[in-house]
Amino acid sequence: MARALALAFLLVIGSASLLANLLAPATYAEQFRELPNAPPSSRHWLGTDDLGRDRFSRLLYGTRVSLLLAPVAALSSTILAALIGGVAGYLGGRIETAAMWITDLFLSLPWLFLLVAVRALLPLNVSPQVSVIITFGMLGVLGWAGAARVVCATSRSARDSDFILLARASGVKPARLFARHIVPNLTPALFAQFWISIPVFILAEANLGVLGLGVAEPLPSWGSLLRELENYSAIGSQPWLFVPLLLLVAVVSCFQLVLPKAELPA
Amino acid sequence: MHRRFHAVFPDAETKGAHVLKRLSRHLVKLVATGLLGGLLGATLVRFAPGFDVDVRELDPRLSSQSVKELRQQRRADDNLAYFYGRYILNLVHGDLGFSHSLNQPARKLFAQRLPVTLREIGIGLLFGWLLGLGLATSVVVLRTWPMDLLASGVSATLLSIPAAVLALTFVFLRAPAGLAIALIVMPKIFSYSRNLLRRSYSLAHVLTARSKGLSEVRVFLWHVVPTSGPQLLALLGISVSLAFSATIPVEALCDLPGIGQLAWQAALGRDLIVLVNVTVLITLMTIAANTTSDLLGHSLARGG
Amino acid sequence: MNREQLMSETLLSISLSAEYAKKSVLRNITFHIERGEILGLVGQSGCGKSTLALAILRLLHLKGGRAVGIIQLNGLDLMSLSERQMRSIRGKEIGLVLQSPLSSLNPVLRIGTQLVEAWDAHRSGSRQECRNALLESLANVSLPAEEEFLRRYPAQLSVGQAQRVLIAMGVLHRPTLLIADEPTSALDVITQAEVLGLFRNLSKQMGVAILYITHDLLSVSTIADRIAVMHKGEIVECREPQAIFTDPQHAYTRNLIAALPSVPGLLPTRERTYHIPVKSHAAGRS
Repeated sequence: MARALALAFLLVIGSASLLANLLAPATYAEQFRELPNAPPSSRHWLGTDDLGRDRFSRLLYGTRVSLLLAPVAALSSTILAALIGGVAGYLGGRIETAAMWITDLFLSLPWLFLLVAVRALLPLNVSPQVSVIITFGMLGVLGWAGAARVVCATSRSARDSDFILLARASGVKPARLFARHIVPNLTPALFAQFWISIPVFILAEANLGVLGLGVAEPLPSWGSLLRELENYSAIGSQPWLFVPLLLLVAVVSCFQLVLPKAELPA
Repeated sequence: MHRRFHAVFPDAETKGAHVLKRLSRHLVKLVATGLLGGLLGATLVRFAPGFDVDVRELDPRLSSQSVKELRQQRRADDNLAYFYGRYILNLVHGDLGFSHSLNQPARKLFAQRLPVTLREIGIGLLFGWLLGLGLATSVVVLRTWPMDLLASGVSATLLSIPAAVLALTFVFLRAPAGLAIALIVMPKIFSYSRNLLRRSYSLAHVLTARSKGLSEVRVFLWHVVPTSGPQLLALLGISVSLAFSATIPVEALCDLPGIGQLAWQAALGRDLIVLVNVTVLITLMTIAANTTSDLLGHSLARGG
Repeated sequence: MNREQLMSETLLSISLSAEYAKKSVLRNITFHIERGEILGLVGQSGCGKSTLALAILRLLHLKGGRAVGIIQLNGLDLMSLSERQMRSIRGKEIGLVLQSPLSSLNPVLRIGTQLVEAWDAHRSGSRQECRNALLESLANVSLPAEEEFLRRYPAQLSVGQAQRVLIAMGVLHRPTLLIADEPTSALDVITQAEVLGLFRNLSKQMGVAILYITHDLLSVSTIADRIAVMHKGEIVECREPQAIFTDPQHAYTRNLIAALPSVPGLLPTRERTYHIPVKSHAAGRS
């Protein structure tokens, strides 16, 4: 019941952000110079920021960036995990040991250190569109390690299972074995990892954004919208500044609710 | 006396040698990882866009002679072997590069800032574990559903808040940054150990223990904890990594002169070698923590 | 007191219903066990046998179940006792032996430690007393009564040895009732026969009543005084093994017996009167 509600909520928010072009009263960069820092009104539902930009529009566009690109990055990292973990677990032996060693190394690197270091290696002063590609591309390429362990273990147990033994005894070739028999067994684990990665990437992008290493201005994302919270003196008198945070927390919680059995990869 | 020692610990000598062998193997792995990681990072730096532009050249205070030397240095760096060689030589001498953003050698900065970070992580891990494990234990042992609901709700909410925002909250409240790390680390410790303890409680030997009429405390300490021990220790290693990760937003936003802030400023200022070296050093520390917990876990599981 | 006199007293009298997560598992199950008697409880997997074992020990809440009814042990209603009082009964008046011996023993503690723990739960005394009692209990289950054996870890035992250790722990305090939940399922046939004989001997020696829970009708019939047949959370028949085999009253009992393997020409074949029940079984796995 709670899961159905959570899923419904995610769908509503997702669709609203997809239709940002239609639903937003203004573009994310349009500045209403005569109304900086305005409180909420019928025209600007969440007021305007210090450059006079409509906050509600920026929230819609920001949601579109964060909520829709995180799953894309999650898909990419899951595919990488499937390839690395799945093949390693299936082949076993030295290959599996080496792959898991690399994965463990990757996992030992504190997540944000890795992201910050890789981000810094790429040019910092780039256009907003490129910064979006860099941010989510990084997550997609670097986020596979956690999932890879789980996928490798699943692949290994599938390989050792009786029905694979049966297939082998019937003379099925290894590649076909992998594609037709192992991969379908990995799908539940892969789907779970995909779903777990989405909130992780949303939070990572938010952290990078607040640190100034995420999506570049004027393109909004949840991370950059949260930067407004750094203004401590203002948040007391302007509680509507919390709306992006509340939305983020609600969305991430919904993702966690829909898949409640998630545990840390050990 | 010696005989008695051997009666109590019959395989002490072989066990000791075993542990030493294991330890030395891990140490070799650590050094190799550090070196490889450093080389890999240095490679990435070498091929990073913007490497051939040295911002120092733009400094008007430098004489034309110094600028010429800088340019010569960079041309020498074009030779990969020379670049690697210089990098390793620097490492051996303990030269971690120069931070332009903070205008000091990285080694000095690292030495200054490490104690700050370690203290903050220490507080964070201590309170995070106390709170997380304590809550998990109460929830599993007491088995009252209101408490379970409340604890799970708080944990899930905290997990949904970005670390940076939690850091901001602590700046706003003017509370110690170590506690921010505790709150970041706590929910993961809570949910993992709660699931672990629940699973351990449902094991057959715990039922046997209960059927013998043992007290709850004894069942918990002697039958549930030992079987959860190794995995909890593995979690300890992971929590160290999580705590280090959290230092970047926490120190950056709370303005703490620690390693996390150093990494952040090196990133913004593109002091890439410094950033790479700091990352490698932190990784080595995390690996060391993981290895220690692994070794402890193994000796526990063996019934030592 | 000889065996006949011991057996004339009712030790345990039960009238119980139990449920797991709103699903009824035991439906007003009623039976009694005489002092010193071996009662075999036979039924298929999932009919609620293990639930009954946990319910008697009042450990059902651990698996999320609830039990209501009366459990009379020597005139004392166990359902009315506090947890603390129950703990003094568990291990001392009622012993439990589980299946899967290797997972029922704590893998990180030595056998000796686990036996000492069982001893200390209900007795205080000198270390020497304890040691003697442990060695005696090992001898009772035909295990080597040596210090060396006590220092072993469960992983260093065979399945048969581990099962005997569990039995030794169960009867350490000479309880009046021993509940054995599928104690031989994990054993091969020969070891099974040995352990069955062990149960019979222990019952004769110590006068302990045994509630022997199993799905194997044949093997328990070799030692049981009476057999209770359980089906869908109820006892459908409860008589001596002889009567059960020659004149089964309930349809389910008849099916059970007819389903027993028989080798044509070697062992006497039973009359195959296997009736396919009208109600589908698929609905009811509780």
